[in-house]
Amino acid sequence: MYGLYEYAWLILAAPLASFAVIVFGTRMADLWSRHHGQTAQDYAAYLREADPAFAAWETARGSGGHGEQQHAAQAAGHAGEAAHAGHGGEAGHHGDPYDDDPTVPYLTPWAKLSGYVGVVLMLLSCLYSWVLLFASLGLLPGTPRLPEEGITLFSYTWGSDAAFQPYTIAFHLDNLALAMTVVVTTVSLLVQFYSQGYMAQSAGYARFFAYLSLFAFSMLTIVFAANFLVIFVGWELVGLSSYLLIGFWINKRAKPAEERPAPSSAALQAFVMNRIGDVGFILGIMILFATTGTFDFATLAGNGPHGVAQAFAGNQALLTLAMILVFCGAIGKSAQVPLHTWLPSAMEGPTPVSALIHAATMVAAGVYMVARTFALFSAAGPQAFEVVAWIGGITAIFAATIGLTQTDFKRVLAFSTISQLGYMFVGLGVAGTEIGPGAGMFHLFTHAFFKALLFLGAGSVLHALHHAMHREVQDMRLMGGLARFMPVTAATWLIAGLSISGFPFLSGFYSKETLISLAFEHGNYGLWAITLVTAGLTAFYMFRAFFLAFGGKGGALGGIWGGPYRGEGTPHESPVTMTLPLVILAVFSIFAGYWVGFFQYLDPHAPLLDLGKIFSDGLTWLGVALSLLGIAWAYVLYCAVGWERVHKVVEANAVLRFFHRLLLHRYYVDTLYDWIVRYVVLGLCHVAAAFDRFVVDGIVNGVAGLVMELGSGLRRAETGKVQAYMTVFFGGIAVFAVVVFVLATLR
Amino acid sequence: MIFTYDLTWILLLPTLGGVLAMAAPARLSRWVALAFSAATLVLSLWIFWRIAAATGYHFGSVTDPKADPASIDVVQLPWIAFQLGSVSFRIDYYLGVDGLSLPLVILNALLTVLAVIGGWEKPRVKEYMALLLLLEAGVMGVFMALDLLLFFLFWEVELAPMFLLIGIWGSETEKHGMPGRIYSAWKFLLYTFFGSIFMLAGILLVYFQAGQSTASLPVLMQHLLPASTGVTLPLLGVTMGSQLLAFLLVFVAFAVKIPMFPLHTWLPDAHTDAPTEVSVILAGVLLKMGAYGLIRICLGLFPDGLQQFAPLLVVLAVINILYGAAICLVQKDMKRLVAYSSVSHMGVILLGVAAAAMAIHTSNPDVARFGTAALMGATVQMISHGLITSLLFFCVGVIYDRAHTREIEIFGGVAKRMPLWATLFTFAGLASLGLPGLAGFVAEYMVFTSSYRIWPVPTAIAVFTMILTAAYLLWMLKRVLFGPFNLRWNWLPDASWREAIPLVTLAAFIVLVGVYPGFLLDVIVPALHHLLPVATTALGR
Repeated sequence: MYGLYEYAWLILAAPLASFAVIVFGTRMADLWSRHHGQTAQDYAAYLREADPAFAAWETARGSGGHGEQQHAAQAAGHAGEAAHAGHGGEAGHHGDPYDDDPTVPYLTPWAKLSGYVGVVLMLLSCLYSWVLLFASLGLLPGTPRLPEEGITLFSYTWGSDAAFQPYTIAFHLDNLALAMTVVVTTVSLLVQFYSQGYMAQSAGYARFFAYLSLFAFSMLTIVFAANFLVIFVGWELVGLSSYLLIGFWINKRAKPAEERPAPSSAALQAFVMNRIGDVGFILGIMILFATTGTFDFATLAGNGPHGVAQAFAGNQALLTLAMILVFCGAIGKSAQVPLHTWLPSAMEGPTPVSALIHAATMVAAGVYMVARTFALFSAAGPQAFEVVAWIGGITAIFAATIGLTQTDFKRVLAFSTISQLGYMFVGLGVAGTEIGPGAGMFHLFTHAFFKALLFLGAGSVLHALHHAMHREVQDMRLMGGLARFMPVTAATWLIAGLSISGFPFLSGFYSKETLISLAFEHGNYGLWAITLVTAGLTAFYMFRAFFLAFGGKGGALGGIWGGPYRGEGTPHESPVTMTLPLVILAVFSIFAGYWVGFFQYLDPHAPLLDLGKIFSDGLTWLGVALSLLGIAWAYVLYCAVGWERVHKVVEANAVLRFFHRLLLHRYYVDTLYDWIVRYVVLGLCHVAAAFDRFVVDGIVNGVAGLVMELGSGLRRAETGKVQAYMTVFFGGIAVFAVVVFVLATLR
Repeated sequence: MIFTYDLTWILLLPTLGGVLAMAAPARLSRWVALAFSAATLVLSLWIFWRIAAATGYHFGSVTDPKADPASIDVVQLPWIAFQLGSVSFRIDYYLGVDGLSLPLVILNALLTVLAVIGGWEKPRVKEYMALLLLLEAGVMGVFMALDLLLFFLFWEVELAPMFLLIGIWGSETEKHGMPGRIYSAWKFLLYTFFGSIFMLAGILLVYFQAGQSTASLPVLMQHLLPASTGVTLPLLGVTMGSQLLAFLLVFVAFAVKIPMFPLHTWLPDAHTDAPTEVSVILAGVLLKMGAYGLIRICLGLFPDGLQQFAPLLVVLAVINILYGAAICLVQKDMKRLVAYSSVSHMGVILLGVAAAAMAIHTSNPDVARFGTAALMGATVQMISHGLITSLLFFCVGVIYDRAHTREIEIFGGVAKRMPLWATLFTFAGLASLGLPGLAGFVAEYMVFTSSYRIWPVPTAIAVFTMILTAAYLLWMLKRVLFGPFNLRWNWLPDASWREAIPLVTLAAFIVLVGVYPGFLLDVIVPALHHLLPVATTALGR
């Protein structure tokens, strides 16, 4: 019946297959070939240059007997430590092998094959999802649209017993899932394609593609989830992929001067903070499950005895609590206040990862989850949606203000992501049942493209600067005038910047203005004001970044295009593997907003997106005016005046300086959390450990000591005479017999 | 003939293997040990396969008199019987495996094979192998015995090889004025003996109170002790139901073994001082003896006593879960951390059992289903914790054999030199923190979601362990494997093939249980279904 749709599980299976092929096949072969044959010699020669520890390791391994080896190892250790100390002294200089991604002189064929496996399977997934999208829009002759309730792709239960019936792994496809699938597969494909250029010299090339594939699989698990069990599985698995990819550069150091953590710390922070949200999530799931006896979305939303409407009848407050707890999961995953601090740290991962996971798709999983369970939120009290909207609104303006002052290119984008995710939650929270999840999801849809483009563009810049300066540079104060060197990157970045700022006729304009006017129409004036102001702030910090990186005072077109370059060396435009995805994403960033039937696609009862109304509404133009004001102010400060002078003015004024510090240090939230973990959490753990050692175990050891004392007194009983022992032995048996007798008579 | 039963051979093969490993020349003894432990594994798998094939994957329950004989494997022969005045005393050679015990038997056999491979290069390898195999035999007996006194016998038999394994091959680090291995071996022995005394008293109480002149578990389950009739304790003057009294006595032994707060402090010491393979067996199967006894004997024989105790048990379970996890966060030694994580994870089993105990009280079929699922989760946790913690201990063992230290802070960025080992260690850590798709998640998710219906507040508190577990495991991994490379460890070689075999095998099983738990759940659940209705009728519903 729904032939074409029923194979949609292939979209999910393809990235899992490439993960397996890479991990167990091509990556193994890649590692093996780097240790054997001609390649191994090339690599060894290269590593002797690049990695001082390698030579020592080689010597230690090559020497003969065990003792000798130990000795050599110790020597190597000493030599290494000396080298280590030396590097500490000249940290940041070119050639510190631990400061960067370990590189290789060239990729082995097996590594390249890993990339091809990932890209090709992703391409197939992507094409298939586009075909299904067109089919579900009724554009494919001979294929019916998807039924409103969707179709089940496949399912199995954990066990055949009735008690396990709720524990079902089930995948489900409907229009909402399909819209998200298209976003995920498209951005995944472009990012994987881009990574072939970006990661071209990385030693972990194959591993990187394996992780990206694992991520795509995990994310699609969330998208296709038919119940809370599966969505939780996917939820944790994207957390894993995020953990692995943030910590991709396993040995990289922290950079305290730039307030940048080590990738390994950032990965840990991301996982644990997400887990905090997940506790809320699972508590919400537990309340729903204990009351209704099912995890299934459709059953929960239905009117049957297991639906929330009946099961929670007369107890709506509990349902409201459950949904707020479920939303906690979204707060963690989508980095909303107060669990937002992991996302800026997550920027320590490779930039393609930031684009795919920490901007376009994974962080939007929270939005998707709320959209998926929209019916349950509607059934709960109005407080549930209010919490969603207000958390979103507060986060939007909170993150946008921080974004005003950041100097790290990727961090500006990170705070922008947090802020835009806040917008999406506002959209979900204020929409109400007649519009449905459309408004929030629409912004997710358009945002995925232009935010991915912004990050990939930033990656292109960082890649070029890395080649020009031979070190990692992310500080915008060391950029400037890059539009001259990399016109494609600059032009596409400009498009994305305009789009996110809500410039008319670009995709961001439609999705964002819809959200803002919804807040107004539904009488939520507080949120309306917040989102409006945030729109202006967004335009300002995006163009601040654009002018600092690509423009500057004295450049062409009044400083918009090019200007003085503040770094060293000469940057070059990135290879076509990197610029092609930028161009494709730029096209999406312009046109994605013209899908006027988006609301109806998700919910047939929702109204069409009315372009005429958007253009004729005065409030729309108020928002646009604020955005243009933001752009203009950024132009004045960073093209006309120049950032050095702005900086001087800010430093000279006590009030401005105070706010600058406050924002630059992200309202000191990280500092507060750090303090809580260090002194409160670990303090309590130390107390528990001490209690265990000195009280629980102390009593045991005390008793044991007492017995020992008694024992040494009784030692005299050990006469060594067999008769004495026999007496005690039979005495013991007698006592035992008496015990048995007493017990027997008890009955 | 006793030798015609395959269950006899499950006991005999490792015993014989142990004796032969001692007798064989040193070069051969490890091969002998490997052959006999592998043969035990094959035999246990064969029993599994035979039942599955004969019944179409319908496993029975050994305590169910109406069970299809093909769905279980039982041997019952008279062993000791004598009359003493009016008291007749009888112990049967009564062994049986069903859906509840067979997975544990297979787990024990599997872990022993892996332990033999892992301990291939130990000093005094002959004795080491022999004791490992004797230990296996003792544990097998515990999982198979259906006569309470025989159960007690095997419970004690297992102690001797364990005591020697820790005491001889353990670490020399000084503790309380003596080598750690001596201290920990004695601590382990005395703690277990302490519990055993109570268990023996409890078993004798059941034996004589029931008046069936047998300690056969299935028979006694038909004649439960009165729940309401009181016993007044001679010295304390407390009156309680005799079933509750018997439960408490027997439970002390299980609580020590599980281990349950506040009887857990032997575990971190035993683990830190035991050699790697012994830690694996200790965490993998010895702790399961306690959990198995709790489900098989306490739930079967003392449903009412267990239920009366459940409100306290659930509190202790939550303490186990959170307290254990909190202590993990500040551990400095990798093995000690994993040991305390066992305390935390075994608490999940207690939580599941506490929920099931309350569910048997109900006439509401819905609640009964939640109870079954919680008990099921607890049982799966036994298997998954066995696999995951064993993997963690093997991983820690690999680095300990090279570096001769397990202190977390000393390492740093070791993944650079040991990518294979680092991958598997990370995998183990992720499995332990309950990552979906791996075994631990199935168990924990089932226990938490089902227990919530029965114990909302305690379960809601216990769920916070998710944060702590992730924090302590990933923090440990971060400090050892990732971050700036400490050049002191530049010489470290990666895990060898021999070391990788146990790691990869366990990892494969963890994925299998995590992705498709059905093959395990369908084996276990009939045995539990039998336990819960029996308990329900006992409550006079």
